[in-house]
This record gives sequence, structure tokens and C-alpha cells, in this order.
Amino acid sequence: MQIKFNHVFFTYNADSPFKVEALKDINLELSENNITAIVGRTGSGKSTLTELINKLLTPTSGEVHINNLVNAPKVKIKGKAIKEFRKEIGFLFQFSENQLFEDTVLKDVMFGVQSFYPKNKNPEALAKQALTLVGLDESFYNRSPFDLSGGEKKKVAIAGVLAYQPKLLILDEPTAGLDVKGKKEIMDLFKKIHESGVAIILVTHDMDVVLDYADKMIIIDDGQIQKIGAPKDILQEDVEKYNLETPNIYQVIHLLKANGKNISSNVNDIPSLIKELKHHG
Amino acid sequence: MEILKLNNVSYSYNKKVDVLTDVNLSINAGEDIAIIGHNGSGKSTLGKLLISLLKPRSGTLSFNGTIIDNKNDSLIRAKSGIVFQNPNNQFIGVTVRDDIAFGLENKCVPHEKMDAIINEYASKMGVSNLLDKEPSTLSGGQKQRVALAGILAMLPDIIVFDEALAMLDPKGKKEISELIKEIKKNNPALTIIRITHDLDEAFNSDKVVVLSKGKIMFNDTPINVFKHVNELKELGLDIPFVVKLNQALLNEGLISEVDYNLHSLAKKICK
Ligand SMILES: Nc1ncnc2c1ncn2[C@@H]1O[C@H](COP(=O)(O)OP(=O)(O)OP(=O)(O)O)[C@@H](O)[C@H]1O
Ligand SMILES: Nc1ncnc2c1ncn2[C@@H]1O[C@H](COP(=O)(O)OP(=O)(O)OP(=O)(O)O)[C@@H](O)[C@H]1O
Ligand SMILES: [Mg+2]
Ligand SMILES: [Mg+2]
Repeated sequence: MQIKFNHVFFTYNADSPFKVEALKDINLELSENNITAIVGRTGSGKSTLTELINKLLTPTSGEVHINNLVNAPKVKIKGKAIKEFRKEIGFLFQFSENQLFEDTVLKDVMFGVQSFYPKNKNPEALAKQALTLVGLDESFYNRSPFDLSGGEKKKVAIAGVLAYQPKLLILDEPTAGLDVKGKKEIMDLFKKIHESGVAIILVTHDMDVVLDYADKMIIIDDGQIQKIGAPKDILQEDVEKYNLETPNIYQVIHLLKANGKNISSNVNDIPSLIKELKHHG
Repeated sequence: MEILKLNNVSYSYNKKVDVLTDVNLSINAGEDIAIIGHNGSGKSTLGKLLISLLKPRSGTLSFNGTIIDNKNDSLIRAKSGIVFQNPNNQFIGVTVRDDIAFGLENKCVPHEKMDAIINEYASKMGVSNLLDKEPSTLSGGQKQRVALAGILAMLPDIIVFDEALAMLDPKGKKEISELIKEIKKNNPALTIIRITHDLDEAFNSDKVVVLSKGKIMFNDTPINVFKHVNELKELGLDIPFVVKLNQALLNEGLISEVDYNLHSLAKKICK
């Protein structure tokens, strides 16, 4: 999956007094070799950006290239081509429970497989496999997806995009609403899927997730890209001006340095910090 | 003074499995309590039971000493508000302004006072510029801010925040937490129940209730609850970073007493 944004602008309600310039001159290249985190303040344009990749939105001007497909104004793409293209993409909405609609969990998770791969003989097996991956056992299969807790709904939605085994995962706040253990398990799962050759783009407000899992991060603010780089570099800088938060461990390291301690640059969690303090204390 | 009390409450959605079993919980007016627990542990259900949006299958809810039933539940409904886990389930109005106004109308706030109240809370929540927009066209965090403005404007005595800050950016989360504290300062009787997966948010509450599989496992001050490192791990939970750091430092003799303020903690380590 190669994704390229070329001078992309996006304006909601362009011809009305309510117009919102959500993205301004975005230039960007993303590849399958990364887990890319898109971060930034409330309303900065993150969800809008992801929806351009999936062609849920069309740029107001500029082009988004996704493999051989061009998402640009006036470029017409046949419904069939869009379907071919969408089956390569798993898209998890920010309010993912709104993407559930079938009357049982199992049917909901099977839906993507059936609609993208109508010839597949065993969509149920793929759905069950995906549900197992997200940690939902068979007691959930016949339950209504609407009668679940918030976190359980999220897991069903995630299973639904994993079941048809897309080549690119676009995940808008995949860990919001998950408990501590679920968050780690799901992120470990995404990492494993990534290692099998799937590109991942995730939007998150959790800088610990960015630090622990992403190898590339993009800060957007007011519809514009402010920074692109490695999380362990960018998160050491001042990110508060973008309404972000320095990860806890870096806050401590900064404070220790300010108090005159030398901390080597490979300290990145509590155990490595303790080790450092003991050896150089 | 006790404002809410659950006495041996069990609840079931389908009459087959109980999702809450024998819950006993007493909440004092003015308390700020956090409810934490694994996905599906029963937090949202508990939150709805506490303000009588759901009725116990067995056991009772008392509000200011009065047992609540189907006939008198308006007593508590009139004094309470909830910010739902998904703000999309919150909105009724065509515009953000209508939406906040709708809540105020329900509270019988006179029309001539409404504009001032709407403007005050929209400004507090940083959504003044969104008042004429349709709620469905807002970003995730904007929706949560609007949902918060709508509930806070109604000045309830009891508010349940069901993961109401989950989609805010990190600084926004802190700002809104501070604002809620501020509002509480001016209104010390305001009772806050925050359902959250954010351990730092729980650590900053007066009390933490830990649910697991529909049962209350702990109900104590944050410091006392987060002492139970291993038990919490077994329940799929964890302890806040600052507590973890203190324990690690203490175990290795790098500090002699705990300090939950990172600034002064750093000074202690460097001594
Ligand atoms: N359907 C829409 N119609 C009009 N304006 C919209 C629409 N969706 C989003 N916007 C506006 O576009 C801007 C960018 O929104 P977007 O949803 O991309 O933000 P975001 O970075 O995902 O924010 P959050 O972290 O709060 O989810 C915001 O000002 C928002 O109000
Ligand atoms: N409407 C419903 N009908 C049937 N069962 C439900 C319904 N809502 C929730 N449940 C079940 O009740 C249990 C408790 O759900 P609840 O929503 O209270 O959990 P929670 O602690 O809020 O979880 P989360 O952190 O995932 O939001 C779960 O097992 C869930 O599947
Ligand atoms: Mg968004
Ligand atoms: Mg819940």
C-alpha cells in the first residue's frame, strides 16, 4: 500500500456560510513499512484526513493516491473499482459502535467478508477467528451487538475490519474505551498484524500508545501538518503547544535532568530508569 | 450526608445473567468518586442505576434517604445528569445551541435567562464558536465538549460522567478536569461519579470503586486502592504511572518516602 497526499485541501460545506477548512495543503507519503500515528488537538483534522484515504471524502483540491487509485475532484471512479479498493482497507471509525448494524455479533463480523468476497465459502470461520483475536469468545456470537458494553462493541467493530484481512488498517482511536489489559492486547495484535505486512495508520490521543507502538508520527494542527518524525524524537520536544502531552517517562527524565541528573538517551520506561539511577546514582 | 445508597442491588438485562450482583454502595453529597473496572464489568450499568435510569432487579436505591421506585423516580431524575459514553446518543437539538437549550427547558429555566447560561457554559467548554452547528457535523472531541456543556449548564446535584473525556486531546482532558473541579468548588454539594479507564483521572478522585464481573472489589481512597498492585493486575487493571514509579523507587531504596508530585519527587531522587 502506497499512499501519497499531494497538495490536498478539504473544506466542509464549501459553498455555504458554514464552511470549515478542515485540511490545508497536506503533503504526505505513507508506506506499509510503518505504524503511523496521527495526533493533534480536538478538531485539528485527523478524522477528515483518514476519511480521504478511504475515499469516504473527496479532496476539495489536490490529490490523494492510494496505490493506483486517485482520489481527486472530477476524477470519476466506478463503484466496482471503489469496492475492489475498499476491500483492501479496514476502517475503524472514531465512534466505531455506529458501524455495527447486524442483529448478531457473528453476522456483523461476517458482513465484510461476505460483501467483499461473496465466493468465500467460509465467512463464518474467518469471523470466528477474528473474534477470537480480539478476545471475544463464543458466548458473544449470538448476542445483539447493540446490547453490549462500550468496550465490547469496540472489539466487535475491530473484529469486523480484521475478518476480511485488509492490507491497510485505518484506526481512529482504536483504544478509547478499552480497559488497560484490552488496550495492550489489541495494540499487540495490531503490531503482529503489521509485522505480517499490513500498513497501519492510527489516530490517537494516547501518547503512550504512540511511543510504545508507532514508528512514525504526524502532528496536525489547524488542518496543517506541523511535524513528521519518529515518536521517540518528537515526543521529547515540546508538544504541549499542540495540546498533546509528553509521555510520563519523558516528563520524569526532563525533571531529573533539570535537577542535574545525567540520564542516558536509551531510558524509555520505569525499569530502565531505575537501572540507570542505581548504576549512576 | 449520604445522598445515594445502593442496598444489595442486583441487575440483569435479560433476566438470565446478573451483570451486577449484590452491590452495596453509599455515596455522600459532594463526593467525587471514580468507578473503574474491566470492559463489561458493569460500570455503565451501575452509573445508570445510581440515577435511576435503570431499576434494580432486586435491592434498592435510596436518594437522600428515600427509597426510589417507579412512582417517585422523578425526584432523582430532576437532580441528576449523565454524559453518555457515546455523545451521539446525547444529542436532541438541531444545533448545539438548541441542544443545550433543550436540557434547560426541561429544567424549566425561564427563556430570558437561557441565552446567558448557554453562552456561559459554551464558553467554559470552549465551544462558543460551535453553537450554530449541527452536533452531527462536529469532530469527536467537539461532540464530547458539547455534551459536557449541556449537562453542566443544567446544574445537576449529581453528575455521572461515563468516559466523558475519552475522546479529548490530552491538554483538553486536563483543562476540563480542572474546570469540573472549579465548578465543584463553587458548588461543594455537587456529587460526581466518573466512570473511566484513565487511571490518572481515578487517582485524582476522592474515592475509587473497582468493579469486576459485576461485583465491587474495592471501595476506598485512591492511595489505598492502588496499593493492591497484584490484585488489580489480576482484574485486568493497572496502577497509575506515578504510583508505579514511587513503588519502584522505594523498592530500590532510591527514595525514602512516597511523593505523588513529579516535581518534588524528582528533587527527592536527586538529593
Ligand atoms: N461533517 C462535517 N461537516 C462540517 N464540518 C465538519 C464535519 N466533520 C468535521 N467537521 C469540522 O472539521 C474540523 C476537523 O474535524 P475532524 O473530525 O477531522 O477533527 P479531529 O482531528 O478528528 O478531531 P477529534 O480529535 O476531536 O476527533 C472540525 O472543525 C470539525 O468541526
Ligand atoms: N443493553 C444490554 N442488554 C444486555 N446486556 C447488556 C446490555 N448492556 C450491557 N450489557 C452487558 O452487561 C455487562 C455490563 O455492561 P456495562 O455496559 O455496564 O459494562 P462497562 O463496565 O460499562 O463496560 P465498558 O468499559 O466496556 O463500557 C456486559 O457483560 C454487557 O455485555
Ligand atoms: Mg476525530
Ligand atoms: Mg461502559
